Order: sequence, then C-alpha cells, then structure tokens
Amino acid sequence: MKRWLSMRWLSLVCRLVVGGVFIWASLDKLAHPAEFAKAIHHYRIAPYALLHPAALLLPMVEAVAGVALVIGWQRRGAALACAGMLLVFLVAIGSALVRGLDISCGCFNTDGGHAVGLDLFWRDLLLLIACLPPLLAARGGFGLDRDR
Amino acid sequence: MARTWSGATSLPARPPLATAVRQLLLLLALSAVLAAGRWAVVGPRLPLRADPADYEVELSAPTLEVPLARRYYDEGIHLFIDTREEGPGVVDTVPGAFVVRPDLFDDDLLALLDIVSPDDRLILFGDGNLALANNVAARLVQRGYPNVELLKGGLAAWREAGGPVSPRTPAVAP
Repeated sequence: MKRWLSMRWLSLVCRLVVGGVFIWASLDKLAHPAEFAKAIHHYRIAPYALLHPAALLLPMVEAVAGVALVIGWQRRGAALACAGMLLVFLVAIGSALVRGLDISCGCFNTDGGHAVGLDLFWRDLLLLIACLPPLLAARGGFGLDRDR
Repeated sequence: MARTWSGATSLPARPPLATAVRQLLLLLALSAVLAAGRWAVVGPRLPLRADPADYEVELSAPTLEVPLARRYYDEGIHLFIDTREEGPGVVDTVPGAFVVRPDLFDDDLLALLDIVSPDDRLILFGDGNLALANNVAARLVQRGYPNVELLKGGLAAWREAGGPVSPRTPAVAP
C-alpha cells in the first residue's frame, strides 16, 4: 500500500482524473445556480436556509479544488476537499436510494440528467478512492507544489 | 528534529493530514471569496435565502413505475406524452409519444385535439424529475383529461431500464 502511494505517476493520474471530473461537474452548476439549488432540494436533506448558499458555494469549491488538483497546487488540501465532497455526495445518494426518491442526480447537468442509482454510488466511491494517492503520497507528481 | 547529510538540523516534516487540513482551509477561503465575488457581480442574483414556496411541488397525478409503464407500452392502450422542452439533449423519446410542453401547452394540445380524447389513458414523462410532467399533468386534468399518470424517473429511467426510444420529431406546434 505504501509503495503504491509513493508512486508519483499514480498520484498524477488520480489528480488529473478527479480534478478533471470536478471541473467538468462545476461548469453547469456555476452557470445555473437556481437550477442546481432545485437539484439539491430534490434530495430533501438540506434545510431551506442552506439551499442557496450551498448552490452558490459548492460549485465554486468543486472548480477551485478541481483546478488545484490538475495543476498540482495545494494538492493535499484539494484532494481532501474532493474527498469530503464525495463523502457528502455518497451520503446524499445513499439516503435518496434508501428513501426511494426518484430524482435526477444534478451531478454534471442541472437540467434533468442522470437519475440517482447505484451506478452513481459506485462511481463516486471509485472517485473517493482515487483521492487517496494525491492526499497521502509523499510526492504528488508534476505540479506547482514543492513536493512534486 | 531530523539531522540532514550536512549535519544541520531541520524541523520534522509536517504530517500529511495536517498539511491537507491547512491547505483545505486555504482553498475553502479562496472558494468563498470567489463565490461571493461572482454572486455580487454576475446577475441575475440568486437570493441568499430560499423561498419554500418556490420549491414545494404537489403532484397533480399518481406516479407510475417504469416496469408497469413498459407493460402498458407493450399493450398499446396508453398514450405517452413527452413534456420536455426543446433543448440540445432532447433528441430521442418513447416511440409514438406526443409532445406537450409546458411553455407551449395550448398550441401543443390544440394540435392533438383530434388524436387524444379525454377518455385516453395518458402517461406523462419528463427528463429525470417530475417537475415538467407534473406541470403539464395539472393543466391536462384542468382541461378534462382525468386519466393522467406520471412516469417515475422520466425518460432517463425508461432508457436505463432498456425501454425503446426513437428520434424525437419536431413538435407540431412551433
């Protein structure tokens, strides 16, 4: 495990994949915060007081963390941010599945998009695992950080 | 304190998670500043406090699971109504479905007057949630079409369940 985590190329690949996914996911949400607020509301877990602040802040955190991962700047923090968001997404998807909610996920497209299902759960779990190398590796691969 | 090859001493390396938390706080602060700046500059502004009235939707018709909808489709008794508005991703639909869009409801319904009767059983579907279909369902019930059901999960669930789709032809109304 430690040997795997010390591989710079593995950390680099995981950074690019996770960062790219988060940048992509943030674009539509940044452009349509009102629609994203509705997508969050469909999960029925956020109180109304947090709905709009979350719809405004979350896509920006996704974008900043995604860009930071891709360029290798503050990569441990960026990986931790992505891992934290993925944990929140997993809880939201899991609770929607348990409650039998029939909603679109709001992951990449605020206008409808992919329905919440087990495939989304596994996808986010894989992405969460991919956050570990850039979070824990001694060296992060090519990037702006000094410990590359 | 660790000793380097030259004999000098250096501070011990910061644990990875401590570094991660410190960097995380920096990134969150940066994101908050950018989000606040964007909210202040780019319009139209989303109010910081959500109005519950904007979000509560009471369903105007019963919902229908995809497997049952597929059975109805195979039996050919029900009519399928596509309630999605035109858009880049709206290219296919349930074969034989008619289009009744919320924004062009009257025009679309007028075009179907000779085809759809009040006795017909209608299955309405939207993208992935029930908002669009529910909007059309409420107005159809008002116009005297009582046999309306909403497809749970919309076309996304239909497609995922292996339901047949065909290219969506342009709606009759403009």
